[in-house]
Amino acid sequence: MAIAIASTSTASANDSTSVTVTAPTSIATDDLLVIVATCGGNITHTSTGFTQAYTHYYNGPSAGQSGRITVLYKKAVLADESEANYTVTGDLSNRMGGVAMFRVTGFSPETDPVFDYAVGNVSIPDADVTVNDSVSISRPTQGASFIAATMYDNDSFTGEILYQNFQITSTDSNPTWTTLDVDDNFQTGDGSNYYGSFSMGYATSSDTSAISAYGFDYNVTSLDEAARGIYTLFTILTPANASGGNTLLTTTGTLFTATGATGGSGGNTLLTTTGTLFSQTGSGTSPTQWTNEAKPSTTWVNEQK
Amino acid sequence: MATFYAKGIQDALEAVTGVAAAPTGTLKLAFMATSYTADAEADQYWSDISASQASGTTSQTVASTAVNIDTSNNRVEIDFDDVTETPVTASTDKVVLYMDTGTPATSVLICCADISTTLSPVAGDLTLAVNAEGLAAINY
Repeated sequence: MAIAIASTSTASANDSTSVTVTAPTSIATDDLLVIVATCGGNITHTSTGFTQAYTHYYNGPSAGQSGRITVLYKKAVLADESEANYTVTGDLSNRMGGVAMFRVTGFSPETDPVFDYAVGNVSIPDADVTVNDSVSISRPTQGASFIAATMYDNDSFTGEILYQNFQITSTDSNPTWTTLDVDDNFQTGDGSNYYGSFSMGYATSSDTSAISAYGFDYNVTSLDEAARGIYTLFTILTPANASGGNTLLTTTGTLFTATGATGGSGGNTLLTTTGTLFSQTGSGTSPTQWTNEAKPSTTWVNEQK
Repeated sequence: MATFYAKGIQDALEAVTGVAAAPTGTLKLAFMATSYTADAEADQYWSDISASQASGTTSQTVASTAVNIDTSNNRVEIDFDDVTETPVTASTDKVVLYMDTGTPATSVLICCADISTTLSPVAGDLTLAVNAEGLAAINY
């Protein structure tokens, strides 16, 4: 069964340690639940029962222009069917943030569901910015693409940023994207007047060609100062098995010509060799025959000494 | 590139000639990344190539290992049951057979064999359907 984005929900908070998001509708056991969490600064996102697929932190040129995007996932269990909401918590106080949550059907995860991902960042002056990053992300099976786009500003935020024209480039046409605007202005600085915004685009497609680029537009109206864009693309593909046979690996042993062999018959070349007798040293004794002078006919041999 | 590893052959000959005892452990099969290219001489132990194991996979113990003399083809073949790993998301086009001693730095590599096509399971089963003749053979 092909995967589908069955329902979504979003939430945000100002200068908060945690963000609580309403559960997407109609969660069923074995559904895939995905949370995309954002924050200003360098914090770790967690949510009870969820596992981190990956996280991306960009340390910006100033404190307020830094941020993190984290993707969490969970295989829904029976209790999730009646869960009202989910809370995402940061390990630093008052830095969150925005959260988007997805209920995905057709994928019951026994392992990390994110097939591949890419990350990036860009400076956003007081002008429109088009993101179009080259990537090489294969799609062995059909599935869904998600782009999470954020912006962080290090002072009182005025003006407006809209996120438009989400796209992926491949040999197939750009799929139809759904935009999920989470919040265009939330505080992330623990009272330091840092601001962020967060939007997501997602699209399902039957295409299986490799993604060579992805992007979107930061549509800017009257920013009071330059901001920093932080973003990521990830794919979740329909599960598929793969099986293949090996090519039999064969090798042939080599027999070297041996020395020292003699004889033989048949078609082989007779290999001969000559033994070498080394000169030997030794010692020996010869018995001495004695003669009795008085009885010259009598002789005897001295016994061995 | 498919190959027997020199170190594995050396250990085998040393074992049958009594020069040294054969390494003992668990015979394992690893699915390797498509970027891995076997080096018959430089790659000796699992620790030399473990970084090139296909992402998302783990080494699998092989079962029903047999070393058969194939008189029809004049060769000695290494064979074992099909190997399946699940669930896995990976991309692989070759496998490595090695003797896992429990220590990667002493786990000798035996051979690297090509898979007939690149396998890319998505959160699914990854199976090596071992060739009917086996994984590898030495002609005589």
